[in-house]
Amino acid sequence: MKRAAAWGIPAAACLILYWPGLMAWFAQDDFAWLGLRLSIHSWPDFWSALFAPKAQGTIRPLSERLFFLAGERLFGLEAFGFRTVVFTTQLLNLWLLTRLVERWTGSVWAGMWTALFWTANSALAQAMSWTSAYNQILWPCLLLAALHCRTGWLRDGSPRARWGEWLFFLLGFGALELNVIYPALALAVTLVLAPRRWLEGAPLLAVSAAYAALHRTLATPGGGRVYELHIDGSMITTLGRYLRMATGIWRQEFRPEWSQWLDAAEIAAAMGLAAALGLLALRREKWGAVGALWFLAALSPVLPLREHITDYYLTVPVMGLALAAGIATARHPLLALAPACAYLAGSAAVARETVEYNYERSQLARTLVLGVRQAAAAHPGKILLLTGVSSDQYWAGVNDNPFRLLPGVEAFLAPGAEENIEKHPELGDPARFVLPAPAAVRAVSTGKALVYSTAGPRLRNVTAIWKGIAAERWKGDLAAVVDVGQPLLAGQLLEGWHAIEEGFRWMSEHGRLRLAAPGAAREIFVRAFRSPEETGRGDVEMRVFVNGLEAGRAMLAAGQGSLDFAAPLPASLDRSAPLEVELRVSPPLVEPGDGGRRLGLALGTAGVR
Amino acid sequence: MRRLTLLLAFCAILIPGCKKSGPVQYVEEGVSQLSSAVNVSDPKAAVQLLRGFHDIEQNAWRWTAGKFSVALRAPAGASASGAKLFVQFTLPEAILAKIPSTTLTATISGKQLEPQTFDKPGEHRYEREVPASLLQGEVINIDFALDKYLEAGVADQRELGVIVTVIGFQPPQAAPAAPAK
Repeated sequence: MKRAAAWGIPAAACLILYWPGLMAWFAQDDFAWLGLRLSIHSWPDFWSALFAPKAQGTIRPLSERLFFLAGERLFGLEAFGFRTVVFTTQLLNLWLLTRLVERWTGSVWAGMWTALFWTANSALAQAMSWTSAYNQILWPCLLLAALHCRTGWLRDGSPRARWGEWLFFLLGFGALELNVIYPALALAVTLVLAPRRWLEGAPLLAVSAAYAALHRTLATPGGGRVYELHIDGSMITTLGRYLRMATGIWRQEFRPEWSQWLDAAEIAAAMGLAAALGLLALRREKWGAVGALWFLAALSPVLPLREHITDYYLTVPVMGLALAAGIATARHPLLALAPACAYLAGSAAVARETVEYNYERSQLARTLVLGVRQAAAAHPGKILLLTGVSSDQYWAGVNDNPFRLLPGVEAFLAPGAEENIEKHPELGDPARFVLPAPAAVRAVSTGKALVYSTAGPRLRNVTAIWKGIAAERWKGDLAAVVDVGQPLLAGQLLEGWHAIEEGFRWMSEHGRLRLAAPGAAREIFVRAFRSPEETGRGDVEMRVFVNGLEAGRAMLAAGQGSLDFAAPLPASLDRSAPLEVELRVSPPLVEPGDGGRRLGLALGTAGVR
Repeated sequence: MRRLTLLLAFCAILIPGCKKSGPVQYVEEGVSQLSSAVNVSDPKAAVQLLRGFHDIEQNAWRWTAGKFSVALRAPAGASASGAKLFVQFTLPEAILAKIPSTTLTATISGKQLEPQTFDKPGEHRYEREVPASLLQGEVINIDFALDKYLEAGVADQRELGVIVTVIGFQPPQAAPAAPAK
């Protein structure tokens, strides 16, 4: 009964605190992960989808790839299924943590307090309300399971526990790369429980080192400056920031009117934590030191990321501090009462704010995506143009292209819709979802497209209004940017083009197209591809002519998949007249057999900007 | 085993408790109409905010960028008698702390209306008579420009102009009734 209460109290607190997270829908990266299955057409694709490094150089086959692939198969776009898995894993985490601390300290209540302090920390809020952050919930589950096994092995010498630890340790790499720090935690536990056996952790360390080396070789972090590693004095400053954030109460971006209460709670919590660590040190309670080491070890891999400080990285490190605070609170409940209450109230307030924000953000995406699905079902075969899209809505629900998850749906931003959206070039360009004005106007006026406003709680059909506005605003016939795979823009293609194939077209050796008058545009750009399967052609040269004047040339080397060409427009151009662009590619790729096509390059977009 | 059963029982209670009732309607078809005055916080007006408007804040207003445009319906009778264009906005002290004043200009069909300079914090109303010759179509696109505003990154990640609440046309005033003899 006591044990059930020790787990039940933090579990209930977790459910109450993060309840909006259980009800949250998808947002942002979730759509990219949900679309992973679309890239799988064969077994090699499947293995690549599971293990090829993705954004920021991450490889998380269990917590991201397999989780979303299986979840999408089981639940489709029903986020509740995913959220239930996340919450169930977290409830399991709380049980594992409660029991582990009890096994270490002999106190059921130390386990209860540790689990309660951990789950109430606002560092968990992101993971508890955003499905893409499941890695932060699954990894502690595997980590705690491995530590249970280590504890069993050190105490009883059970070979099953030994193999169990290896299993969970290795699985941990599938959840999060930070699992490399596990040998440090295992060593700390060994030093407390069986100090003479400390060397037996060496094989774990060897595996971690090998994984770190392999990961560094295979995965190149993307994301630019934000993910640059700074192994220098700035790590101390970064640690200071994380230490302050570890109370779960201080967040630079969250300063409500009543922030003086939060400041007071933060001071009380920080003093309480320092007192707990001091008290445990004085009493030579080794688990206090394990908690402090846990915090530092779990945080150490992210300390070089000084441009990417985020509370989400504290999810597992704060478990160490919760351990120290939990033990101290169980030993001296009366002394700990005030700081514990201050911490729980302050951190829970911040956590709730984050969870509610993520919930609201996900609802914006839900209205948008499911609205598009319903509108498409009501008007089969029609193109849907979206206008009135807010910045929050775009970045939560459009930027990761959720519409590709809806079979048969063709949805774009209406021309001009991108102009009210905040720019975040590091995340993407809304313009890539815009159907160019001439194509949009033509599609709406011929009844092929409908326009919906996404502002408000429902999508509203505003085709009639938009038609009137568009007729005033976009009078030209030509688009400045042509997606050559878009049938509605086929009128701008002159000779030298083959039929559309899955969003692109092959051009022959020469391809010509027309673009709108450049006005103030400065450069011409072309995005082209070559087939990864082609052999024997070698390097390919593309020359770009504008109104007969050569604007530039570029090489697409053998083995190079795509080319992003950009060059200044010739100075002598008449900027008020439409442009005629010619692309010349050599050598061509000749398809085998009689009448095989002569192919230049596959084109995505061409335009002026 | 008992604990696992407890956990599963817990989840079994949780899941049915969270089931939704009936399909949710995410789309509204109906007929919508262009307005001659827009409250920028009204979601129905969003289609008329052509560019330069940031997201709604406090369910009441929006920041603009340095340039912003709206589409309005010409009010009844405006094609014969003209109409009055108005913009209700607030110029916060935070903006005036960085720029001494800002001048707002409206342009319709390439014709610039008389600009007005604002240098005091608080609520303002920009009003200009628009001649009938500029109000001949059904849809009137109006471009606004501020000569000074805060560039993105100065006070916020966004470019900030003024805080707008309403933009619209006032219909031409009815001719006063002839006095009774």
